[in-house]
Amino acid sequence: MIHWETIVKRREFSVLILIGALVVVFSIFTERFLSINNISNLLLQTAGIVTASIGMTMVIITAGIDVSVGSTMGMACAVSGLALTAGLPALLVFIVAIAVGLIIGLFNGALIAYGEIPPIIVTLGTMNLVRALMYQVLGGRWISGIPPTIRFIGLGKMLGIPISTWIAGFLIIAFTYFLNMRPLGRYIYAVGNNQEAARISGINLKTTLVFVYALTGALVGFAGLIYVARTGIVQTNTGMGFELDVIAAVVLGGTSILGGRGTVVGSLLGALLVGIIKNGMILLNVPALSEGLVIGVLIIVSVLLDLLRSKR
Amino acid sequence: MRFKSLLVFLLIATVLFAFSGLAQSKYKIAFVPKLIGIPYFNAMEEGGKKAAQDLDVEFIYTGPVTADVAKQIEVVDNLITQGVDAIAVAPNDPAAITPVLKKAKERGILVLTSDTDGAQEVRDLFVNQALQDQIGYTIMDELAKAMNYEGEFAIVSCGPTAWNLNTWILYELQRLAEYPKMKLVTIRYAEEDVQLAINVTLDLINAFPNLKGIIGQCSTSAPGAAEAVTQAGKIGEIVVTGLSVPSMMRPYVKNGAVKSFVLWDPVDLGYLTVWAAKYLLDGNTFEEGVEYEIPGISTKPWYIAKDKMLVLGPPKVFDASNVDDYDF
Repeated sequence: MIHWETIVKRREFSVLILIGALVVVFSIFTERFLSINNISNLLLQTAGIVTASIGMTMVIITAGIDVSVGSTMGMACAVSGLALTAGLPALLVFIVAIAVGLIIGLFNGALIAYGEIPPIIVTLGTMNLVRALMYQVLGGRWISGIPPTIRFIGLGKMLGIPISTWIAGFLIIAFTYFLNMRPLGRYIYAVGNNQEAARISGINLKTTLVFVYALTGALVGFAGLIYVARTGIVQTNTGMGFELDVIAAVVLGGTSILGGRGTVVGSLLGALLVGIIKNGMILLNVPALSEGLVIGVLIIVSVLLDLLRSKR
Repeated sequence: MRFKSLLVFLLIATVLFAFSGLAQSKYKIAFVPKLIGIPYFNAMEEGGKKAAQDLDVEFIYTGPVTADVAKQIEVVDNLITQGVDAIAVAPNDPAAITPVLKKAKERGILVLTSDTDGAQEVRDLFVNQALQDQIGYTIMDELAKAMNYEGEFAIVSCGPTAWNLNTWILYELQRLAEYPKMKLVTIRYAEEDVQLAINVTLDLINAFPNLKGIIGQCSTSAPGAAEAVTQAGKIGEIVVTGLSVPSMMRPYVKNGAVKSFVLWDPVDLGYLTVWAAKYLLDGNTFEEGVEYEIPGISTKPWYIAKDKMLVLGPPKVFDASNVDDYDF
């Protein structure tokens, strides 16, 4: 039984409509928007953001925020880059990247849950702390010459679709199931809706919070691995500003910054929306300096339309 | 008795004075890059250290970890407090850094700019890597040669407000007039981010099917563009050139995505900066048109009096024949 009315009322639906409209416009005005090559580019470009946005969605559902994900990704890139150039096997580096993110996430979560410090403060601190540590790890140098063994994760394709997209897609499905069907998934919403009520009903607030931040760290660590595999270069400023891209995707996708509401599918759509706009601007050869203007206006309009509709 | 003690006091004072003079004879020369921790400025640091050893001066290399205007000003302010003899800066923002440079000058510190210029009225010398027009011309010439003098090309620059990048683009366009069969289709920006440069270039390759060449305007966009050409399987069809460091460009020179690229030797630039500071601190002056023979570097810098500018040399072209000789 499909409830059309509830679907139409959802924010995800309006983002989907906007994406549809843009796809139509771009494919009318440019020949190559719908080419396999271009779509594959687009998916490749958004895979890292989508992966990280899964964790960020959960964090924002608990009415939190994590601004340290850019630094966390940078650190995961630095450590896995060094490990790869040192000749460690790809599988081990895969685990190392996720472990780096997980440790930073656990640190964030523990301070937020047990230290009861506001998430924005904790993660702002970690953001600077981890960036400084990353600087030490790299010794101020860039890493290049990443061995080709790992690069298939970033460059390889299966059935014409980038491997990183397959992975991101699988994670979206897995976490949609988790958030809707598993008790811990439902607790996350409960915590975001009303912490006090959640606590009284017997949900372990602290465990839930630690879990959410640790998970985000691990996913971001994995996104870092995708980055290294894709670019083959790690800079000291790698990942700077990544947190903003991820937060933008999540918020555009309808997750309420006040907590309690949101889906990972929405975040996927949000990431795709920004990716399609950036991609389309280049295909249309819109002068580069007005690119930001167009993206900014479209973001505001999409949120505004959504607000107007929900008031009606 | 009184006279005697005065004499002894004077004697001691003279000795102490002479001693302190000796101890101070080692100049403290500081260089503040736009940011520390990128290969380019690491290379300048290496050159500065080498010069400091050769010339027996103390070399201080310090700066912000991001290209942050306010932090850079803070660093310069700290150096003034430390009481160095000379400060050379590669300003992130020429206007914003002027007041603190003025303060340094008022304290009797020699003020230089290097790599990027600042306000002419406050600095005593600008150590310039190469003339702006020659950089732009050389890049365009290298691109033209690689594209066989015809076809469509695009520019991938970094910050849209970077004064030096924009000036080079201006001279590239000026030179373009000499190649009537070449056409610039678009200019895009990718910040100082390799991944962004890859994304933008991949989109460009899709948007312009007849693209034959790409200029990467800065040290991250050039390897990013070359990586994108490699990933898109367009080696041989699209050629990349631009401005970058050998360590980043080496793989792409090897795989054929890049035939040649342009830069100068930042090690030499760092050396020249420290050398020039010592030369001025010693009380010397530069003269127009003289080519200076400096033992530690490979070029013969010359001085342009009206701009108070010392020029390292013509831009250097790197290709398969020499890219392995440099490790920055």
